[in-house]
Amino acid sequence: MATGRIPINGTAAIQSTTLTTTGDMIYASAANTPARLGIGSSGQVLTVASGIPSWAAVASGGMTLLSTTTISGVSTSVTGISGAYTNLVISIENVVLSGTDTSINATLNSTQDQVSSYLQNRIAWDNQFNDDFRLTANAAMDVSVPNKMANVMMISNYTSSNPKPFQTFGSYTGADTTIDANFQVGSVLITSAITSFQIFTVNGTSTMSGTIKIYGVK
Amino acid sequence: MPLIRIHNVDTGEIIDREMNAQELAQLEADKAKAAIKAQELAEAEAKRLSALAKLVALGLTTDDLTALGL
Repeated sequence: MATGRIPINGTAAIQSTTLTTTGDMIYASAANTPARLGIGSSGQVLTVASGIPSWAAVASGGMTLLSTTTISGVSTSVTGISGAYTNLVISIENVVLSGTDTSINATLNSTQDQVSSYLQNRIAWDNQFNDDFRLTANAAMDVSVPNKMANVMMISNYTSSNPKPFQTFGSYTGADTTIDANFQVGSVLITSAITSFQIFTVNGTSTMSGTIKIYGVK
Repeated sequence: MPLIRIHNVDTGEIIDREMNAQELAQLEADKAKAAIKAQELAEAEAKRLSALAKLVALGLTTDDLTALGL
């Protein structure tokens, strides 16, 4: 401010020098007493302690929406996933294909064949195998409008250096109104922190629309 | 050329581009693997149906097969 003050109501003002850092906020530490609240660190949330606002880590057990991504093309990747949580929940919503494809699969950290799992879907029960996440049955599928596919995936201890347990389930209504259910459980074999997620059509001919939401769980 | 999207949720950057050569090669590998898997599943389903037909020929009814979880 040219005057060095932030006007409040035409008669009072707060010195602009009170704010020293990007992200600073002003609050009342007592009646008629402006005070500075410095920006918190990444992942912290605004809370109240002893009657005044402060930044704090997310409470244990809380679930936080980390990102929302609009799916596009034959493959969509979400990168830069925060490592500040314990578990990841990935919700893949309202996926619609532009045409017929073999199936929709998913990977983590752009790594193929990274899960050892058991898979049950409409086609068959598949015993332990190493492959990708199979979000739909491995058969000709057409989830054209208005039929939509949805899937939820949970990965435990996703930043650990050990294999990580996962569970995923979903469904879609096919063009013939048949409901396909899909259930896959097992272990992610990647031994580094999970930082990215990819969804793709196996044949790469049909484009997808829909939404990926990623939640962190403390 | 297939289009892909990359969303960096740390920076907010969204890139839409065509697949590169490595990604195209991976796509072809995925398609080949999926075709093999689909063939395996089709063969397993054919064997299952064949086995069911043999049971029916032995006199089992549809209700019998359902009771057996088949």
